[in-house]
Amino acid sequence: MKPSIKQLTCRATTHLVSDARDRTLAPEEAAQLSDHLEGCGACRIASRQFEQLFAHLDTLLARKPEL
Amino acid sequence: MSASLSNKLMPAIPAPPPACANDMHSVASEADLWQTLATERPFLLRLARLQLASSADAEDAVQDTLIGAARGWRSFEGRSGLRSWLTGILRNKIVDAIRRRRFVQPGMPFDDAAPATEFDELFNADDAWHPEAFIDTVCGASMAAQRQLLDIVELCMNRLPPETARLFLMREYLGMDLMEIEESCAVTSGNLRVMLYRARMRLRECAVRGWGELE
Repeated sequence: MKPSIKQLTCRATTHLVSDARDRTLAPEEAAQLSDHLEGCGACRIASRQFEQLFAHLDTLLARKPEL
Repeated sequence: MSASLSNKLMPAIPAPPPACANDMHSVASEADLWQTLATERPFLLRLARLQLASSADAEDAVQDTLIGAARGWRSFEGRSGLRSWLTGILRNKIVDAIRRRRFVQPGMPFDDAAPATEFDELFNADDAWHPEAFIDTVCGASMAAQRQLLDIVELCMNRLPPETARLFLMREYLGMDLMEIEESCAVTSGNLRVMLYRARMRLRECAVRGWGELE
């Protein structure tokens, strides 16, 4: 963990993953998220689950072509 | 869909416009076309009812969608799937209806009364994922047919509280930006963020359980 980056909790990480669906994260937020994911296996899995969920939503709601 | 079920649905859909009779490139008959379209009607109606103030408006939007689909059947190339194609058409009908009527229900309460502690059981005291509550299922490409995966998401969406679902779909389906939703629904930016977060967390939790059952 880089000392200059404030450490996120897993719960805070889920908030940022949700926010990233609606807006571009600030550079500091993106760095915090990336740093946390690098060191947290559960959050990497959860992040992947969110990605899959969002991809399915995009397809179901016709936001993007079928997967 | 069974014949008896399709027969129940058919009367709710108006007769197809004559022009579509020559446009059916992949269905055997006019009746087949309407039966095919009717299979997606319940899904479309659920989406429309969440976004439009009255059931009549929702019915109209879906009816216009199905008529438009029948008329434009030739342009349906099948690549996106019928539901996806119809869902895209319906989105335009809903956006038109909202713009026409400026659909807002002033002071409409957002009745998602879930406590702030709703997801506490997922995390431990340090706000790290609780090992006993964390479901680590990731859906692989080969896990199940795409249709099954989409059915899981649809089922999970249907379990969202109505007002949460309405806000969530304004964002995820209609593609409205946050400020537009806040103004339309008189909801604060903080509340909207929480509502969208709760919806996504609930969907994730529901979806990963569904994926687990497919394994």
